[in-house]
Amino acid sequence: MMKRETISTRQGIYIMSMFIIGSSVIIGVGGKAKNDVWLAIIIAILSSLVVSYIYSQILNSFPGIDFIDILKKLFGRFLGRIIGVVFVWFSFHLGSLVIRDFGEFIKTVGLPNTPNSIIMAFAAILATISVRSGIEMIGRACEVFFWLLISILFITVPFLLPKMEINNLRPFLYDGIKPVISGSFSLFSFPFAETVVFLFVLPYINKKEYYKVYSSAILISGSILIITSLRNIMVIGADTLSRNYFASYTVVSRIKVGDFFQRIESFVAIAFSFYAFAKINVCLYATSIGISKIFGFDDYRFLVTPVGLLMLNYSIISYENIMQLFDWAAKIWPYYALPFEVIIPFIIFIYIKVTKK
Amino acid sequence: MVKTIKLTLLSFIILLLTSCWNYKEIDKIAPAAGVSFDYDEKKNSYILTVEIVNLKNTSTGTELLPEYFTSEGKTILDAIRNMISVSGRKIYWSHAKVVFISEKIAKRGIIDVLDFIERDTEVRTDMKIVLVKGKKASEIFNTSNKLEKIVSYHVDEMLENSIYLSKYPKIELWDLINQIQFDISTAILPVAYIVEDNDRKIINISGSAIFKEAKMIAFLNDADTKNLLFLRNKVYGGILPLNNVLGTESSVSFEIYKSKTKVKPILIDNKILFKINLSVDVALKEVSGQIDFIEEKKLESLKNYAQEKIKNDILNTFYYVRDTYNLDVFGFSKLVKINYPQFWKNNIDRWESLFSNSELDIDIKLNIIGTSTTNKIIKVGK
Amino acid sequence: MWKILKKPNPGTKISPNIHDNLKTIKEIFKKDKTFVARCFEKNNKTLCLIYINGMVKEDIINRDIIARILDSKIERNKLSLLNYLERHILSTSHLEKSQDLEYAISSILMGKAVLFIDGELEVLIFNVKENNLRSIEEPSSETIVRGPREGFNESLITNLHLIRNRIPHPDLKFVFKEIGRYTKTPICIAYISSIASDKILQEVKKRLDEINIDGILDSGYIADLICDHPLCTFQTIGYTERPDVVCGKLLEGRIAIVVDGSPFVLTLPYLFLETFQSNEDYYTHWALASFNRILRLLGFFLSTTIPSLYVALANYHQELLPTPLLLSIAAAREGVPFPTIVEAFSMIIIFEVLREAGTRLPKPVGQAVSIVGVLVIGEAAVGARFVSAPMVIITALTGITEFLIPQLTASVILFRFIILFFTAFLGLYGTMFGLVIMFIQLFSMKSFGVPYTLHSFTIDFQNIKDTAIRVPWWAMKLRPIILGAKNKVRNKSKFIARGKYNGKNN
Repeated sequence: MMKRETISTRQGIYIMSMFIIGSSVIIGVGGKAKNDVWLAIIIAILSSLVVSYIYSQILNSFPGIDFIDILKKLFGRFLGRIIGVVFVWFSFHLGSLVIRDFGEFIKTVGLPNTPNSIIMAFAAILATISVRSGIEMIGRACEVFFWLLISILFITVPFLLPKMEINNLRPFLYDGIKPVISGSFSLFSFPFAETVVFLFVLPYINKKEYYKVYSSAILISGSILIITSLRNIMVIGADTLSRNYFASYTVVSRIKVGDFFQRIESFVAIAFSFYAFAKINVCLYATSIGISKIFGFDDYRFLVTPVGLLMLNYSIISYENIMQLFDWAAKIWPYYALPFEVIIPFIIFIYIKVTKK
Repeated sequence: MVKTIKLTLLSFIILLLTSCWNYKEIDKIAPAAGVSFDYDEKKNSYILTVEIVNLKNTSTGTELLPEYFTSEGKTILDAIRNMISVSGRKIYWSHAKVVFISEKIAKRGIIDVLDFIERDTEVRTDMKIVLVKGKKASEIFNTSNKLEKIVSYHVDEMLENSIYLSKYPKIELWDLINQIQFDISTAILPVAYIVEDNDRKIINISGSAIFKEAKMIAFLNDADTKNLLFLRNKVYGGILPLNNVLGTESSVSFEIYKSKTKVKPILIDNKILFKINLSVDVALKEVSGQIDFIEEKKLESLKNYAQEKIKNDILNTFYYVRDTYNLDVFGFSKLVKINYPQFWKNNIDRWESLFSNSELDIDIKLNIIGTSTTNKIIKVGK
Repeated sequence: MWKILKKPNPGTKISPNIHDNLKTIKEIFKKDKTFVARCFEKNNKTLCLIYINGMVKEDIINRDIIARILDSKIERNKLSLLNYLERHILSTSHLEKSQDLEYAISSILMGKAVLFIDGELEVLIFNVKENNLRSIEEPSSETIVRGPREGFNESLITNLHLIRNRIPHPDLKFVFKEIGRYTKTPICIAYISSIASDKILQEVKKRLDEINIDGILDSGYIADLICDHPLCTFQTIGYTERPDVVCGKLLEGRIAIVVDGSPFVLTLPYLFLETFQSNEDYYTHWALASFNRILRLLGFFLSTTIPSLYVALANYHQELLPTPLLLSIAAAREGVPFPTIVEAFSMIIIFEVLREAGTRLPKPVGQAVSIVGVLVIGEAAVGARFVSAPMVIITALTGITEFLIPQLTASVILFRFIILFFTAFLGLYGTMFGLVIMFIQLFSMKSFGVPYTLHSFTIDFQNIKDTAIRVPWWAMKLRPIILGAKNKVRNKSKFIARGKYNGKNN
């Protein structure tokens, strides 16, 4: 039996923050809410704080034990495994979706003639390598990159100040509260409640402070999302924002200080892709560890390569083009993800409460 | 170990055989400096003329020389690709600075041009758009200039330096698209004139063209344009010349250092009053004649005179545009939407009649912050 | 515990008959002209002093051993001749007795003199080793402007003396060990028992015990044999030629390994960050020290990425270049036959060739190399349009920044090529992928249980104090947390002069 890997609570917070910021900083989020996105984000944060309480209660029922093992203990070996498969599928699907986002983003903004599959293959192979190095390595790397990337994200703000127009935020609630609610719903399912994947990861933190990790990560990344979306709206306005696939990228391309310091968006795009990379890592890790626990293997590492390649394949075959991808992500994903993110965890939570009494 | 080596070799071969997809050598690209769009009605096709920067190595260094290619196509992308049959090299758009649009296209509508430019990833959205008055936009490339041989760079500098002049707007692509996209679609563009000057043709940019729903409807002269820029809060510099001040022979010039316009729409019985708060920091830069305006009392009267003059000019422009074109090129409609969203929602259809009845009220404050380096005028000795 | 080379069989005792002993020894040193067996008689007993010519101090042997024995008058008493000589006659300080013939022979091989006495079951071994060693000089591999000038030399004892001189504290422990079947190199583990972590110490001892090699010629052997990631170019064991550096590391709770015959002392655990720290940082002003460290860190990243960034900008992301720069690069490349990527690869290799040629050559010839480099590669190649001028600038920058961090040369070169390779296919994204590979490598490494990148990049007030920056000494109160398992407080002095001389009388 190998020595069990552990990460610190702080590393857990950083990993989860990067996971949430992940692809949402590349793709504009909550587009339906237009210039009231910030309000939609706040609503989404509040609701995801509630849902993440359910997640952490599930983990708290048997602290320090793998999620799949918890399921086995709660529902017996057979049913527990079936439920486990559901969550493994979710993290697998999410991972392949993020790989696809990543590939489309780089292809569109940076390498138009390069085949999508090559870029995605690079990302998937690198994720495989890093997941094989273990969660400790991911934790240490996230601890560093979190601050690096946050500073890159915020360095853009002062340069964009002259281009900001506060009037772009007004009028407040022009179309009523409905689009805000619908925007916050899609924000809730992507990216906040996707943290359900961390049910696989969090048993590995060295102190059992699950809710602390969830709540602080959601608050940190939520405020970052609020700031970036406020910046985006103030710079280019809600109309242009909703037309662009990659909002932050478009916004950064407006930076122009003198003749020399301009067109830096490619550099910033690279910073963004680090976030997405962290998200791919977590999904791959969760999937492999889930599968290894379902089948009762001691080690997950030998599973990482096949799972990573499968994820890559699935991401290539599942969508034909960028329009389909974004249409699906915007319209179907929120409803598709709902059972995984809310309904099943809620049932498990109720079950725990009932049986434990 | 053997397995690793095999795998490495395999991946090397895969990468090497498939080549580098986006790799392009820097000396093999043809960087465009600017492009002009024309339209041929008979053939129903677009005519593009691209200005390319060519490098010529000389003994003292490199010289930049322009080269022009023209091509035709059913759509704009068609025309751009047809360019290869003339230029040989694929044109690289990221460093293009200016887009010239002909009057003809402007009258037909500029959406086609804008859509293509914005969609392409290579093209930057901070390109500047200029309307060329005359038959063909491509004629702009026939002008000559000793200092800067590349016309597009020359025009780019003229537009960049418009902040010292404020007689024509500097409109970048994204700005134009934002204007056109708003509920009340209006836009302005700077206008370039080609004028003869001692046997050669030169460019003169002055005034603006105004657009309604992406179609050009009229030109404004430079004085009107300046007042329009005042109302749009886009004046960063420039000169305020005053002739025959207070009925005397004297002329005075102010240089604008800073100008800030605040517009507040006020609803009174379904009638809109735009309250303008204009505050301008100026310096007295030129005084001709023998009246010493720098003296405190006279400075005060000069100030009042100038304020009144600016105010009247702006009002004239506003009422002229309102009455002639009934078009809100000042961007006021957006402010109405922001301040009265409910009213806007209900009355968006009758905006035109609302605007034609709207009034302007200007409160102007001129701050004379200096008199440059001297504090006395030059006296003619007796 | 280590096996002796060949004859005689292990555990052979000294024979009472001196001629048997001499026969055995002479058999081993057959035809060896450095072998000296000086026999003489005293009190009717044959004595024989055996040593190897050149390895011993002959004047001491003459004066303090042979002359004293021959000149002495030996009274009859209870003591045997051997014990009498030891107690009353001989005046050498280092003296051992042994009954083991095998040990006696290995002592001879180590440069000691052995006195056989007929009829005795023991021999006397004199440590009269001739130290033909360098004196203590300033190390040429780590030159500094301000700080102690002493450097280690090849003698283990001298080196330990240099360390003990600086830390005269009973908690400074030296643990000895012999490694190498043939070389029998003495090595020494040095640590401060009240600071160093026991866990790491046990680990070090365990790994050293597992070494079974014919010879150790330099501490580099040991470093390779006991380090955590032998396949990786980043070193997880540090080395230095300066005693002050070793003492600094010992005081931080690290462990040093001193190897006889090598002026390079190993320190461990070794973190990535230490590569960017120089001992001078602790002696000069902290602001300058911090600036220098940041420069070195920057140098590492620049040296690995500059060529890739250039290739990415010039071939993939031309929009990132300001227009005038784009045009001037394009003008410089006009007429150059090779693609930029080929240019980059070949120029970097040429630079490394020049560097290697310059390092190994004697100084006067080295200058010829640099002339070739400057004139042929620089001037002529650009003039003949073999390479473009920007590429020469890029290569030069790459090379110069590489010199900022000489300890990382191997990793820098390796990752520079990896990153450049990816960049050739994917532009800046390839650069990113290459960097990710490097970071995965860095972050997954450990040095004796301590994460390799510990505190390297973290933003943590206590731990950042001696990392990429150095705060003043009065602010560094604690040792780095993970190393000093015991005794965390390093510094109790306060900012002594604070507020004392501001003109107010209290």
